[in-house]
Amino acid sequence: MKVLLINNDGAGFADYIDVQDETSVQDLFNQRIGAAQESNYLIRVNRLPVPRDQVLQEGDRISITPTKIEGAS
Amino acid sequence: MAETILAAVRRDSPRRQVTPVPDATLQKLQRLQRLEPAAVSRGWKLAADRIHRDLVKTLKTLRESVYRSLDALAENAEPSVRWRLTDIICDLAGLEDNFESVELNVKGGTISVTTEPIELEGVLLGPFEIELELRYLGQSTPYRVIAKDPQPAVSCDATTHPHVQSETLCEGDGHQPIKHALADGRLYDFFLIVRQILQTYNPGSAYISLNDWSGVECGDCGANVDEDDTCVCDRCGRRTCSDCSCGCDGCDESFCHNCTSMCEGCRSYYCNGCMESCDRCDKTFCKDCLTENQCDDCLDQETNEEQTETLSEAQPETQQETCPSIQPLRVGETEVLA
Repeated sequence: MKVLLINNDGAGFADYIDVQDETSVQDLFNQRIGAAQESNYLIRVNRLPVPRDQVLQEGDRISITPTKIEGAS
Repeated sequence: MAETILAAVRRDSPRRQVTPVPDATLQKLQRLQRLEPAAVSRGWKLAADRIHRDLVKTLKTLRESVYRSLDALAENAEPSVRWRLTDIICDLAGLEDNFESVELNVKGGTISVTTEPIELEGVLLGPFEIELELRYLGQSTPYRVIAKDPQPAVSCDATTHPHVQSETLCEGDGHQPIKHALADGRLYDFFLIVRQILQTYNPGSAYISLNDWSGVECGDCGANVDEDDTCVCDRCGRRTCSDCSCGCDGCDESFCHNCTSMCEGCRSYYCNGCMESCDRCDKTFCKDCLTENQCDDCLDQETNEEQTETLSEAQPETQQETCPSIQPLRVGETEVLA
């Protein structure tokens, strides 16, 4: 199935990706972000905070945004 | 409002902006292409050679322009995701769940959200309003970050956040995500990214360090003062406020209290380099208060002592002259005068 992934960690691209059925938010985070701590990210599904074991649905919008983004001067 | 936003995104997105090939280059190329065969047909060899060289140069310039345009287009490629009106509406609804307030100004063409009060490393900076101006979409910074309850740095009123100056956020690591969010019209992500930057302190690249936010601590009295009202000790480098820093009357340099001492003679402050010890009492004095390495008191004392010594040496002779009667006439006898 296809879901929309917006990864704001880095360049911030948005794209539709294929994921297997029964993929959870935790699974997708592990696949895309890797070993990073989940607590360091705001993970939203359809713009709402969700539990890590929530199973993704066709067409879901998932955004992953770091809690700390360093500005400059 | 959502329709206005979608129209603005579709019209002004940076992805829509193509780097144009300069008109002047194209016109020059067309002119040279007309001139070259005319020069050749008339047998003007030198002119034909010069036109040919210009033609090659112009074509190379044109080639570079085309490459630059292609690179720009590749970077700003059309997104694979097409944003719809419902996405904008859902974004606006999503913002209400994440921010204290969301304001849509249809007439002014702005969308504003207000963050909760922001505190970084114990320094309260207050809430910030992030105002996106739709008419500036496609430009480098189409939004402003306005302190709602400004707590600016002591040394600069325009710096309301370590990464905000004159209502402009220096995006740092957030530059690319913000650029793509705005290009796509992903308002929810845009406001979220800006908020996360505001909630992050990067001490390595701040307009003003949070350590100096409330001013600089005076190394002597401990008061927080504006950095402009401080002096750095020329001897130890300690920063002190203007009340605590001392100018040496001898060399006119600035020093902290610890690196100066008071002259026991004139009661003025001097740096250690401009002070000397009295050879006699070891107290420190400025050079003006010492005479031949002695302070005035020691000098007076020495003079008195010398006078006393002179007197004591002179006294027996005087006594001998004034009291000749006490001289024995013979052993055991003294002439007594009436």
